[in-house]
Amino acid sequence: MSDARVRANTRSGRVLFRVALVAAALVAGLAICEVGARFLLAFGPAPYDSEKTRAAIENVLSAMNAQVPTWESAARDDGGGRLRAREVLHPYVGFDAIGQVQDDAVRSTLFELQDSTSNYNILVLGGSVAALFGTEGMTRVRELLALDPRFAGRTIRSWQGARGGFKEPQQVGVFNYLTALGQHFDAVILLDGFNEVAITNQNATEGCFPLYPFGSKWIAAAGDPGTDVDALDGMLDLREMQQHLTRIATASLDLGVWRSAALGTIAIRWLDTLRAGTSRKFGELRNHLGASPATSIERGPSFTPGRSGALNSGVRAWMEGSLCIWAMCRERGIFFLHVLQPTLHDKGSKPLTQGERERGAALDSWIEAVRIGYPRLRRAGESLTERGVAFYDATQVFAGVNDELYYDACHFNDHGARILANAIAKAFLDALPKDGAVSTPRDKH
Amino acid sequence: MSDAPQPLGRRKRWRRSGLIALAALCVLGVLAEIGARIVLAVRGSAYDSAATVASAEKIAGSIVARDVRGEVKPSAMVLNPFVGYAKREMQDELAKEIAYYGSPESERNYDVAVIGGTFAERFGGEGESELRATLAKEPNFADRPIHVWSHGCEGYKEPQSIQMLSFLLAVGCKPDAVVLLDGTEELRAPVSNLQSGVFALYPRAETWTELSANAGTDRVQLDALLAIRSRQRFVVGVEKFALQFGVQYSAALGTLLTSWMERAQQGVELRTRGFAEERRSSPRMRIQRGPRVEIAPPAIDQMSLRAWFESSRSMHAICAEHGIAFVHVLEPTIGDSNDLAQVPPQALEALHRKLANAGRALATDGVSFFDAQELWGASIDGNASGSSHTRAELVAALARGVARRVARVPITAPGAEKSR
Repeated sequence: MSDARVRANTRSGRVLFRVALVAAALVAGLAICEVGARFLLAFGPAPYDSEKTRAAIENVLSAMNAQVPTWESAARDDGGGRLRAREVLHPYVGFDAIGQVQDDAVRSTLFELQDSTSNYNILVLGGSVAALFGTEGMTRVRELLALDPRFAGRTIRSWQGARGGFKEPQQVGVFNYLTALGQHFDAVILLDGFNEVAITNQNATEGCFPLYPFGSKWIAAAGDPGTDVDALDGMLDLREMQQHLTRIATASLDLGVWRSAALGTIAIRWLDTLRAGTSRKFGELRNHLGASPATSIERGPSFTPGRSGALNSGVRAWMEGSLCIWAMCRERGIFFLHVLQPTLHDKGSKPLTQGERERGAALDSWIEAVRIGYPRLRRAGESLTERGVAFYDATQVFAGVNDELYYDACHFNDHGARILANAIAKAFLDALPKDGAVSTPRDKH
Repeated sequence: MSDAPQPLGRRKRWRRSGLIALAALCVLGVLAEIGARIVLAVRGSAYDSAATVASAEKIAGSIVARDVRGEVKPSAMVLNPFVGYAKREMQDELAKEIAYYGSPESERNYDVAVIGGTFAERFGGEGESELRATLAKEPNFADRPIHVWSHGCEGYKEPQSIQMLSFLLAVGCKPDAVVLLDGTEELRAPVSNLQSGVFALYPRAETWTELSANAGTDRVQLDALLAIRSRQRFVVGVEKFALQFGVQYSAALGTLLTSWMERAQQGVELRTRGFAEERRSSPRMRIQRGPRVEIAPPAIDQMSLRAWFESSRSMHAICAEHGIAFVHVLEPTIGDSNDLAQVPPQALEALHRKLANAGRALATDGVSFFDAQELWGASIDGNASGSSHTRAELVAALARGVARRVARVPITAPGAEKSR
């Protein structure tokens, strides 16, 4: 062996030795960090939980990709049944579900065919509470009405005219359109109130004309994204940030970083920082979309900002809607009942359970709208009664119920629907003409 | 001797080869540059770096500023959630009208809202002064200033007019009288809607299709939009980088840059057109044209007539409830104010007869209905241009007829709206 080779071998051996030493130090350092991290965390609020960390990373991953502000409405086409629920532009109510657009027209054919004297057709109008009530509560209402001798020999049917997020003058729009289509009902139940104050106030807060339909849904249906290149740029930037974050989260999961307290904690901190950045960007983009010149037309006529004015206009539209529908019903001999719906944030309307308090969280603009707007709606309801409208204030129907009914700020479960159905059926029968003649509208045309 | 010098020789050879390649590249670059300049000079346009910068910036500017959805002419109409579409200026006018109805001035005035389609829109302007003058002579309104609000809009037909009334009331408008002027669009537009694949009771296809074509977007379309935008940004990014790098000082590279950018611009335009095409044929667009119901033309007439009839009844009932005088006028199918030149006279006559018959049923139901053609129809046989009456005379006669009927409508709760 030459001197040179010996020197070389000795040199490479030293290098290998040094590399091994550094690696060992690194491993030892990591081990110390890991032990230290676990030790520190054990004395913190909670010891390190690798499963929780993994779940947190997965949560970041799923939440991040859903958080893209678009003009698209909430319900998306998943290729299945939800296609019917997807909202599209509608000329007379702003937006409507694809399924409803088709059903409204097809239903007219049924009205042409059926013998209107044998069936008693009730149309339910309103927002999402009325839409849910139309399926759950109306079964009970029909049962109770059928017990009344005035409905002897009549098949009672109820028809869906309520839509999630609708508020006046959308209910009038639905009724105008269905009437123009030639649908003849024997009775109309209008169950509303919450959206008229809550969404009206939200619209005003977000710069959309208060009496226009639910701003985010209407702008989603009518807005033209192609005209706002700044928003598109913002979306692209946001998407890149989200994709960067997604890559890191995916790598963390693939490498099993969550198993280590030190690395898992670092990964979570890093992801949190990135998430905060994307959330900030998301907020900026939302604000931009809210004030975008591209949606200035869709946001409707200019109006004086202010809570009280917006709520007053909501209450007035609610009252006008009631009067218009009532007038149209009276013209055709249709029985009309207007019901002011109960809602969780209406103080004193129900003893709230712990679960209801937790799940009843809502936007400040909604809570404020109910607090200020509901007393105004009740007063307007009294005016409606004075003008001859069959009005029923159902805001206190849950006042003595300690059970859990609400599952969010305004929607309630089947038990709640049954309680409301009992009350509405009674109000309906009380207001219906006592002479026994249940009106049968005739097509005069 | 060991073989130690060998690696050094190999290294030298590599270095030499590298230097030769680099020199060749430089020579090639210089030759390409000289060649490019000669070719350009021979073609008659000597290379100009400033022109290259200007050209690249111009293309980049056109790409960046380009509306992603493609070329769209601004429309006089805009989407409206309650009446389908409305005049662009309606938003501002409505804001003023809402403010007016909240003022003491509106309490004093007698406000007339004219609602309907194309004919009503023109009448709202042309007939206003005569309408005001005639109303002012009526004893009931002698001491009240008359104000006419024109809410007629090109192409409106039911249920747009009743929707307009409901919307006006909802926002706080309190007219004392509502004049509905309609007729011809009611039976003409639904048939042309059917031909365009738009539901008969949806707004006029021509306007509705145009406005709704660019409305809303779904996830797939949004991704396509973002892809176009991403491409635009890439092209502009390359342009900026190249100019910063000084590419414009080279005839060869500068020419390459501008020709690449021109191709990229065409590519972006192609994608944009493709996006617009795809959007037009998307399921969303199809459903925005309304429900798909098989209707034969006679049934369309029946459907449209019923919508017109029922909406008039509804407006009558709503107005009665609000203490508003309601007059429904069947617009004349004679005269030159109704874009009826292309409609055969027999078809016009048949159309008018159907509406007039339904109108008589409305009058029986208590609606203050009148057929404007009766005002002067007996003395005119066809188009106003061939008659002895001028257009102004016809409009004035109509305004007087409307005013007289408005004054005669029995109000059970006069002024109920304004005192509320």
